[in-house]
Amino acid sequence: MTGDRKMEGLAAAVDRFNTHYVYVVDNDVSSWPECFAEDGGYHVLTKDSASEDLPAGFLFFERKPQLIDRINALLNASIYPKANLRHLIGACKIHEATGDRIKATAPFVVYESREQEVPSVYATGQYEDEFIRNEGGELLLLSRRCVLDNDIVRTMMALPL
Amino acid sequence: MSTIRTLEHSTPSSIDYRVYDDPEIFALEQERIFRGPVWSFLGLSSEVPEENCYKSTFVGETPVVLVGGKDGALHAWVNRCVHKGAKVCRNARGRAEGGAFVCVYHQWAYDTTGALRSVPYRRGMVGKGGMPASFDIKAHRMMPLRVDKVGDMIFATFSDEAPDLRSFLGPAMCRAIERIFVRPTKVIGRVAQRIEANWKLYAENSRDSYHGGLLHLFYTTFGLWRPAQDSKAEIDEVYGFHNSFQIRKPQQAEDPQKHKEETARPLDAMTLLDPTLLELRQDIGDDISLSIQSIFPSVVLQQIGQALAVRHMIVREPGAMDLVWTYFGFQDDEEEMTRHRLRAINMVGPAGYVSVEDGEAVEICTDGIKGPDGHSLILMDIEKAENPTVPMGLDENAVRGFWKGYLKLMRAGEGQ
Repeated sequence: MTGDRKMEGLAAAVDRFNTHYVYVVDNDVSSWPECFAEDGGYHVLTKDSASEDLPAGFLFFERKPQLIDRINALLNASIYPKANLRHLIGACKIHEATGDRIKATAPFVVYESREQEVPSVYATGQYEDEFIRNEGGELLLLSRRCVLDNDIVRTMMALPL
Repeated sequence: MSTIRTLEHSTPSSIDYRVYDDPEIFALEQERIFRGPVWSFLGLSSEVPEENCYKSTFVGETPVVLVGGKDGALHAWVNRCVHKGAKVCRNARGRAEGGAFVCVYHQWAYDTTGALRSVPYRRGMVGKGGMPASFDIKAHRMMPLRVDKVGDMIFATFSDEAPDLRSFLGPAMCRAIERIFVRPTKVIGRVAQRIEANWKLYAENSRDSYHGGLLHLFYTTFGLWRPAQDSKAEIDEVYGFHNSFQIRKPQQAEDPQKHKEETARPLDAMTLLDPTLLELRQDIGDDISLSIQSIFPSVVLQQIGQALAVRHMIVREPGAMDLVWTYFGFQDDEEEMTRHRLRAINMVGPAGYVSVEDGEAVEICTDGIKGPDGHSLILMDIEKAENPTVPMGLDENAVRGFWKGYLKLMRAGEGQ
């Protein structure tokens, strides 16, 4: 297999993963942590902070149990406006592939539809991802850094991006 | 109802709902509060660390630029070109090359103090055009504000009548600020949320400890609420519109049962799989685990575990504000300490476990007060009035304190 062919194959695998991710966050959010490896990280910050190398943003999780805690809190404790989120993820770009690790980016848009309101754009940005393959050969997120173009969000940030 | 009547109808424990949404009240606030004898927060020292570094921000709805000048001086001026009123500084933050701020429209140039330094074609060309001979460049400058700081917090005022900053804050508030800024700090990140609510609803929210265990169910859901915790509330000595809450680290295990009996929502205790975000690290050097300080009119200084932040309310219009969170740490933080601050920040901010609800809470007040006239009921602990030792969650003293100061400022000049 030539290098180009290999990259195309990896890009197709990452795009397939992102299609699955979108399905999960928009339809079955309690399964969202299953998209991540056991030591998978999830970090949300603004492009403004990222460009200045400032690490603090909206959320910073380092392990899957913290993602499960997040979902448990969102589904059982937190109070936020009732809304449907709709994620769209563009085609990925592969930056690096070594051994079982893949580094990729993909642009995303999240629309928000609140009850009795016309929909609005909640966030746009880029995922900066590192993937790992599990024993079955499936991709899992080792790290997803959501870098937001917008430096402000409407009301709050609850459900995952 | 007229603006004056709306204010007259209000008392610190009963606010006429029109005070939140009347555009005339909003305009009067700009004059009597934000441009009145009040100091407003502009930024942190670490945001303008050197000469010519600047930050664009707002005092009320007025765009203001904070700039580092010569020899550690700090300057602030209204971001408005004297030519046609254009916004001169168009970036949120940066460093002005050579200390020059140049309006892009006609390239009128200013120095860090806001003084006008040059006007293109001032003397015309080959005897044609140019400004009149009477035009004196030295007579023009962008409007300056008085600037001062306590700890690393920089404030400014439009008013010559405002007392000096330390007197405006009072000794207790200065102590609480200086408690945090024990070592040089650095900004570690920023986020913001647009809240479609009047700024005073958020000012009340940050002073209201009553809602803590009732709205933010994270604590109770995960069995973390400690109703008998060792807490302390202070209100500033002069105006009563600034306040601080502090909680000490738990000395002994407490029974959350009593709180459960008081709440109307079912609480099925769950367990956090990974509670590292709650770990308290040696940091400031005392045993206070939480400190939330609301400084009139528009800033909150907080330490929640190792999450250090200022929350700056940017007042947009009667029904909208931005809440800008600037997170900071100490310059001598090890990498692991910075990571721990990032973990602790999961508790706070627009997405935080114990603050995600605040935006929604003040927005539903905004929705709910529309329609017939009415007023609020801010009565918790009013009979034991202004008792500063009441445990957190059982009084609304600081909310009434906010209104006492607010109403006094707003009624100034009405012969009262």
